[in-house]
Amino acid sequence: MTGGHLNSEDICRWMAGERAAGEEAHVRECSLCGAEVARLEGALKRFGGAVREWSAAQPGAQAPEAWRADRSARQWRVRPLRWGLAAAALVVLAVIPTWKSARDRRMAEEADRADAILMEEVDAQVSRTVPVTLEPLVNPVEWKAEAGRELPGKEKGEER
Amino acid sequence: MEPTASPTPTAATMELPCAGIQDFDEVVRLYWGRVFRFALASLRDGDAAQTLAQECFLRAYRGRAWFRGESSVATWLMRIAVNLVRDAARNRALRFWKQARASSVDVGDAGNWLPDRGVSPEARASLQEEVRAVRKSADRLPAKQKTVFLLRFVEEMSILEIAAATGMKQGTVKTHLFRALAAVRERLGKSA
Repeated sequence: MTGGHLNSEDICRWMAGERAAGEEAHVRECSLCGAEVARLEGALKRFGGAVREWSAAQPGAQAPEAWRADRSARQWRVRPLRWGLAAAALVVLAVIPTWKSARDRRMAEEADRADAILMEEVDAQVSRTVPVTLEPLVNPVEWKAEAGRELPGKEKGEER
Repeated sequence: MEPTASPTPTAATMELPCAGIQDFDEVVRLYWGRVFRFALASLRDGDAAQTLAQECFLRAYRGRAWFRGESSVATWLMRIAVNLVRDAARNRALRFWKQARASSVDVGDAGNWLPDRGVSPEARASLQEEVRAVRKSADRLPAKQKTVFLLRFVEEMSILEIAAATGMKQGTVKTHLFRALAAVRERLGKSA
C-alpha cells in the first residue's frame, strides 16, 4: 500500500485472490480504492458475460444432437484399420506353415545332395589302389608332363 | 427446520455429480458449451473450437473408466480441453489456419454482446469499448496467463479449480493471474 491506498500491484493481487485482512477493510472504507476495485471487477465481469453470450450465439456452441451417431461414426473410422490388421495377421498365419514346409523340403534336398557327394568321396577313397601319397609314383605320365613344363626354360638357357 | 436453498447453477458453474459420468450424453449436453467457449476464446477459430470440443469429449468418453472423481466432471473436462488448446496452439498448421482466417470469427464481436442491456447508447458504447480493451489485452497475453485469465473470468473457476485443470500449483496460478491482470489493467487504464 502506498500513501494509505492500494497501489496497482495490490489491486491486481486482490483480483487474483490474494487479499490481506487489512486490505479488505481498507477497500470497504476507502471510496477511492473501492471504486477502482469495483471498476476492474465490473470490467472483467462484463468481459466474461460478453464472451459467454457471444460464444453461445456461435455455430457449434450447442452440443451436437447426433453425438452418439458421431461417436459410432468415429468408431467406424477406426474399424477399417482394425480389420486390416486382423486380415494381415491371418495372412501371416496362413503363410507361415507353407513357408515352413517349403523350407523343410529345401533343407531335406540339400541334405540328400550333401549325402550323395559324401558317398561319392567315400567311393573314390575306397576304390583307390594305392594311398594318395604314392599315387605320383604309379602315374609317370603326370610326372613327365610336369618335367616337360620345365623343358622350354632349360632350352632357352642352352641357347644362350 | 428451514429448507436449505441451493443456488441455481449458472451456465459457467453447472456441475454434474461424479456418478453422472456414466450417462455420457448428459455430460456432453451439459458441458459442450463450456468446452466450446473456452476453445473459441482461446483459439479464436470457430471450426477449430468445434473440432477441439469433439476431440475433448471423445477423449473423455474413451477415458471415462479412469475417472475416479478426484475432481469434478467439469474440472476433468477442462483439464483435457486445456491440454488440447495448448497442443493446438503449438500446432503450426493451426497457426497457419489462424492467419488464413478462412473460418475464423472476430472475437471483437464479443464486445457487442453485453449482458447489461438497460443502459443508454452512450454508456453501452463505452462498455463495449471496455470489453474490447479487455479482449485485446487478453489476446496478447502469453499462453499460460491467457488460459488462467479465461478460466477465471470467463469460466468463473476458482483458483483451486484452475490449479486442478491446468496442473499448476495454486501459487503459480495466482502469479499468472496477477501478471495477466496487471497487463489488462494497464490497457484498461490507457483506454479509460
